Amino acid sequence: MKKLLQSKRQGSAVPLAVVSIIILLAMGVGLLGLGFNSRILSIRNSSDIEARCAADAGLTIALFEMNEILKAKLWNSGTLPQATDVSLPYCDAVYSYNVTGDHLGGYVIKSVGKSGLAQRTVYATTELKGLFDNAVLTKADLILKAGTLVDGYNSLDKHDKNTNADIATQSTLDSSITLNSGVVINGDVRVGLGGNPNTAIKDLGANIAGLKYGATQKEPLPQITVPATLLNKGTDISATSDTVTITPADSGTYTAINLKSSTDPGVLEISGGDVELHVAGDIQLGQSCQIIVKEGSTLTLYVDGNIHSRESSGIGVESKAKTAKALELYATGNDTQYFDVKANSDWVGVIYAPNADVDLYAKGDAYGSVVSNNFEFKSGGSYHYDRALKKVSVEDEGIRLVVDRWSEGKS
Amino acid sequence: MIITQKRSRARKGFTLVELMIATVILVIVGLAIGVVVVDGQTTWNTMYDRINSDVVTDSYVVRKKFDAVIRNASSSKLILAGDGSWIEVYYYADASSTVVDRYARFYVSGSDLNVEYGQLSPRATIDVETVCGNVSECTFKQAGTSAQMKLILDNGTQSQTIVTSAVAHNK
Repeated sequence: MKKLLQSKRQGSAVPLAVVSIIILLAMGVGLLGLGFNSRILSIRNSSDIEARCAADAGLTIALFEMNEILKAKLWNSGTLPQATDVSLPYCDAVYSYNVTGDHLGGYVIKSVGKSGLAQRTVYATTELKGLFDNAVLTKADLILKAGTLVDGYNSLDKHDKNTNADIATQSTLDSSITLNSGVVINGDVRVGLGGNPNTAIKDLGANIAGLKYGATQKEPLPQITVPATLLNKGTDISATSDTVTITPADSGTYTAINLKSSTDPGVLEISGGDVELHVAGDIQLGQSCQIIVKEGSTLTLYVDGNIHSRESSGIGVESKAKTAKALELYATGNDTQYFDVKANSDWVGVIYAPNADVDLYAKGDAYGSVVSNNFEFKSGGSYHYDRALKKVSVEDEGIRLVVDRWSEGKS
Repeated sequence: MIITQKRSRARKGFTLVELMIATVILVIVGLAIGVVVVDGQTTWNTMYDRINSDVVTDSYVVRKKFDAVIRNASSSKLILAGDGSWIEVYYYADASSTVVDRYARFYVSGSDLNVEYGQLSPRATIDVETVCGNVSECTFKQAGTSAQMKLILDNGTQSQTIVTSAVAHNK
């Protein structure tokens, strides 16, 4: 034994130990490499997500700032928003954005998000969106009489063959939309955000060409304010058995409109161009009394009170093209209003009254668009949405910029 | 006496006890190394599967595909099945499209997650793409303009749960 221990011959323990160590080392290095690669992949993924969020945030903020400029009507290219390397809260990402273009040709927003080595870029073109994007939009109930056909036309383009027209409510309650028998909707029927169309729509035998679905976002219904340029006339507009003509020179604020019928019905005639009236009180149309907007003229009515229309009275628009913007009716009161609107033949016009209940009676068809709290189409023929209302300008009421086309790139 | 000395020199070697001790030590060391090697191999395989197995790589693909389709979709409407088994979104065919003219529908067929692309008017299928297999559960949800997908992939040996969401950005 002593000699064996003193022997200079090499044993196998050391090589065995070395081989074992090499094997374990190789395994350790392999596992470390695997973990390292996994970690790198994870960091890349999270950086990519952060960069994407930053780019989206930049776009949202740029759009918000654009709408603030739109509200202030500061259409100077020098005021277009831009930002560089703004930190996104609670992470290491930064975003930058700039806006190019003008309100005539449209704007392009470019937003770049960066996080670590990851970079995402999103582009968006914008468009102006007005108040009348649907044939009918209500906050609560919407009722269409039996046999109503809802479709679209374009008063600005006879060649536009798109007859699509959507109706919608922002309510999600059961039976918010009542479609009586024989109703035909040549478009979609939309209920409130997250609502169930199967319960929110009471279908009594309607034919819906489009889809029934819950809205993906709640459309803002801004309060309309009366233009400060309308001077207070300190009086009302009244006509009893006679005809009163209002021209653009008579635009202003009046206490009320009273049309009465004695021997003959009272008539209020709008002619000579674009007339703007603010009525601080009610509009009363006596039996067979009429408000007539003559061909080539327009009437914009801001009404703080209610509208009452007696039998055979009505508001008529003489427009061969059925231009809905020939009559614009805005509810501007602070409390709940009631608009009882009648037309002796076709109804042509738009009503924006998110705090008013609107009942529409027409002896002919209805042309235009309605935004109201509750709406009931009580009598008449078909309901035609003027698709020309989708084309708006910066001068229109209640407009806002929204994303039109969106695209994404890596750099 | 001389013979006895010669004999004792010739018999030099390991005793049985020494051999047994050496054998036991070798067995213990061998077993220990074996256990470490096998354990290391198992750990390696487990980690490798967690990073590179088909359900894991499929999950990356699914996330990317869902993200790309939903983010490019129109935010005006996202149609969801009542039981959340499928979701349909709408998008523009290309930059020249003036209206939303295409649809994409995510749905499960057998154990495959498919996405069907088609045109809207008239409605017709253009292509059906299989995004991944091994689907054991898939549900979709919607909140505002965002869509969420919960997907469980199971290849029999490994299960992977994917929860991803994306916001539709187009008009």
